[in-house]
Amino acid sequence: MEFFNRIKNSILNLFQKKVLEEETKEEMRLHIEHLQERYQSQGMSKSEARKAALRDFGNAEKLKEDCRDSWGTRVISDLIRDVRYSFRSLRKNKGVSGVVILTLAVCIGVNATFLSALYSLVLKPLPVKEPENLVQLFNSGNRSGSRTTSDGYSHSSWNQYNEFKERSDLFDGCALRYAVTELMTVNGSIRRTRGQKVSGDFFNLMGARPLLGRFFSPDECNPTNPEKVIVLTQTAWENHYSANPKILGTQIRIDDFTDGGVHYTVIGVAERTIEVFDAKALYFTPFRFFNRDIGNPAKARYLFNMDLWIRLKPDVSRETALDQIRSMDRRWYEEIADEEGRRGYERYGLHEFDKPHSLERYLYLLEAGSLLLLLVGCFNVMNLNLNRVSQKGYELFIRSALGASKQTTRRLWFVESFSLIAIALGLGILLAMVSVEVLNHYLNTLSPSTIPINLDKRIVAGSLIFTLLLAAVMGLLPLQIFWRTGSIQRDDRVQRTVSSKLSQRLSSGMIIGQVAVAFTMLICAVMLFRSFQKVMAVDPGFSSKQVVQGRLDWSAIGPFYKKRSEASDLKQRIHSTMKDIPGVENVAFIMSGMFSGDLRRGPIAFFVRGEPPNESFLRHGNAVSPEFFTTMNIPIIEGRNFNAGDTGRAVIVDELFVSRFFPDRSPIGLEISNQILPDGEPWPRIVGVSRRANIRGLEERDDGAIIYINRPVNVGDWEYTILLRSSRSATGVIRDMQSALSEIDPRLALVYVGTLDEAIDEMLVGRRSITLLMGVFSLLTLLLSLLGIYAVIAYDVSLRRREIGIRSAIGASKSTIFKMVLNQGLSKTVVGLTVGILVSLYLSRFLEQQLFDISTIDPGIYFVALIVFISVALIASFLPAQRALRFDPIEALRAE
Amino acid sequence: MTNHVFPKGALEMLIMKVLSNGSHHGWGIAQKIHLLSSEALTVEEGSLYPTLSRMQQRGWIKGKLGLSENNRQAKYYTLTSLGKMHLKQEQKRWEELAAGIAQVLKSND
Repeated sequence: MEFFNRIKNSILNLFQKKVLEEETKEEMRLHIEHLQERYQSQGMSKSEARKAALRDFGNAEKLKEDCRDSWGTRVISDLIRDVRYSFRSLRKNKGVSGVVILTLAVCIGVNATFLSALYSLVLKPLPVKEPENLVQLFNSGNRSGSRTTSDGYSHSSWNQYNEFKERSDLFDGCALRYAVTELMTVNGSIRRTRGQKVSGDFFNLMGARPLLGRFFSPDECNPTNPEKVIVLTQTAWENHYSANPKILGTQIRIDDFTDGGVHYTVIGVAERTIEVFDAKALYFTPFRFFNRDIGNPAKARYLFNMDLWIRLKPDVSRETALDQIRSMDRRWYEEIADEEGRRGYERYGLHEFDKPHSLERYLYLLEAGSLLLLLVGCFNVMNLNLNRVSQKGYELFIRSALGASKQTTRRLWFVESFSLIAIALGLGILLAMVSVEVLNHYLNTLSPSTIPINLDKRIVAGSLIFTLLLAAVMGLLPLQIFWRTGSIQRDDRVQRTVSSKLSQRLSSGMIIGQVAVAFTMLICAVMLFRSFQKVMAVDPGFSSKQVVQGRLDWSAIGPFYKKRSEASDLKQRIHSTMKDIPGVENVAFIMSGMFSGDLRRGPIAFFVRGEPPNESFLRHGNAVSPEFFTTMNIPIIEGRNFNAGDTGRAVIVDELFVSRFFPDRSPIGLEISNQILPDGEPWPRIVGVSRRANIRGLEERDDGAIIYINRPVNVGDWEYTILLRSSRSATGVIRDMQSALSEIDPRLALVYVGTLDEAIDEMLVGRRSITLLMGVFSLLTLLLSLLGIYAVIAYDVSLRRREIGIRSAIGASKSTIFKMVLNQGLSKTVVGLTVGILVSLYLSRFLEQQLFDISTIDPGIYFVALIVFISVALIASFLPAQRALRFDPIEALRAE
Repeated sequence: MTNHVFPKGALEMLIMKVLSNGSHHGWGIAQKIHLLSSEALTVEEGSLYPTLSRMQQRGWIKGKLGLSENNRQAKYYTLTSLGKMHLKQEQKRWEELAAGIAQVLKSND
């Protein structure tokens, strides 16, 4: 009770210190007056009485001081004084303080950013009920040899969902989710939107709650029910329907090509947490896909990209669950699958739970980089501090001579380090806030359905704790070293003696450490940079200049042009309209989008007519309209180009195809197919060989031969990319292209549109951003180690003033002294570099997947990095060496 | 008139005792103790004011500026309920201690 009273009063006193001072003064004055009166009444004169009273009362100031002691405000006012003192001392040392603050701010900022990114994209559990029991099933294939992250994983299907739900005894439930792009009418205008089809049990499985209304009833998931319902996401409800509470029961128009729906009744709004599955989707509709293929149990097990989420029973391990899934799929393969189904199984018959996030590798790489940066930063700060203590040796010595306890010195030093670090922390968090925004911008391009990163509160708190620890270590360790070695020697050369063996060894250890780390970073950065250069230097094999593209997909065409003849009419109309755009020279259609690499992936077998089947695999096929090669400027090097008279059975292969499969003969005239066709049916025939064009992406240069199948313009399709070559500026052509399309049909919205150059650029966004970031990191670490080496050598030179003076007095030449100082820096750097080379050789293997045409032991890169580093060390030691030369021997000796 | 160094806690107890009969300012407290002890005890300024300040900090007494009998600014102290409780305990403890000491001193062993 009393204790709390004291604390409470201390805090109150802090605010009424003035009143307390006033009261104390008053009561003392009164006391003296009473004394004076008493003396006067005893017969003294007024002035005598006053003197006597003052004498009796004694030292009023000391009394006041004693009173103040009991107010309990001392600790706090002392702290304020210490902080003031430390700021003054930091201001006096602007250079060093600035370097420490900047170093730590950058380190803290970068780490907070990437930890937040890593946490929110990879480590954070899904915001659903009991996330530890929830898994996503992937039907994975053999991923060897494929570069793109999407390759080798196939999601699940209706077929698997149904069987697991009925037959597995290890699951507490499963749910399907499937992202769709559809045309939604929002506030009167038709727009392409993302939606999600979910099975009726999805919300329950995730433990999600409706914000308004309710979720789907089993009856609403029944495909024969004509009543169509929709649940909006909270974000859509807020952004597009201004959070209207009366939204329930209203109708929304969606041209849904899978379900044939048009008018949907809103029955609920889902809370925001459920948006984690697709941040861009605006709504949920019940999954009631009734397509022939999906229903076909013999075929459809691996054909569809649906997310299958499974909740395992609490005591079931993932391995046991996977075993059961594998045995069920095996049974399906043996008893039910037809030939097409079996091929799917052979390709995707391995099963896995939970695929790593596509950015996971990058994030770990970046976080590793920023941790290394932090390490170097801490080395540096420690080093600078060690030097600061040494420089202040004299001051500390005087302080302790004047009676300052170690306790007081320690407190002062801690407060000083802490103020320094607190400023750095503030700046660091600010930096992190900015860089999280920048990162979100990139994230939007790299992984659009991911929800944006937030600067995590726990990470900020963690940084705070780290900062306190660092302040403690940074503030107290150098002092401890100083006390152990320096101040005991009570002579006037205290300043020199502090540079003891221990602190010297510590600081050269730090130099070696940071050189090693910075060298490793530099190697990584140079390797990434060289890879980027090599990717950029890849000859695309086509000319992207003056070509614009726009893609139409199922959601634009499918719902409105159901018959192939209708789709064919549409395509021909588009073709002739595009041709009429002023300046357009060539118009072509291509089935799989440029650089998308998403259609016909994986090995496709092919057979040559009249030859025995072999193990040849064709990697990629694409169907193109006859004008494709002219539009893209891809030369035909053998045979002929497609012409208007060709049917869908004319084929052009690329030169990679020829060199892989027919190195010693011409393929022209050969008839090939992906299956052995029955007698009497005509086979596709190779009519020409084209130059290799990397239409799947620059990094796919050697990845697989491409076969182009002719697709005449009059064959109906529901999905294709339009390519236009024109002599006009791209912006004008794109505008004309869009207005021409909407004249044909306002619902023909392009999935994406732009120049081919932009598309190439966008494809490289991931590589470019990681190279840029690693480059920045490496530059920062390099800069930090430059500062570190400089600080240590400069300090060393200042300590050795006397020695250098004597040396030059007894005849050492300038060059000898210069070399001596340079050697100091170089010898430590060389040891650091040796460690760095070993570390890099070991660590660079983890970078291998990011590299393009670069070996992890490329001697050229190591050579460049070594040269860079040795120059840095030379620059860092050059300035101190220069200063050493300017020492006048007499001055140096007299200074002692 | 001799100055006394009071045993630990004694001055506080005396101050609280004086204040239990009404509020006083610093000078008044010193005079009252002087009088009540039949001029045997004198409280020195050097210990009075810091002690008052400390007791206030502990919440035993409260101080407030007011006007004295001849219209002068003075800081008046009053006993708080916490102080009353504390005085009771201290008084009991003191009486036991004094009785004990007296017993020992009186004995003839």
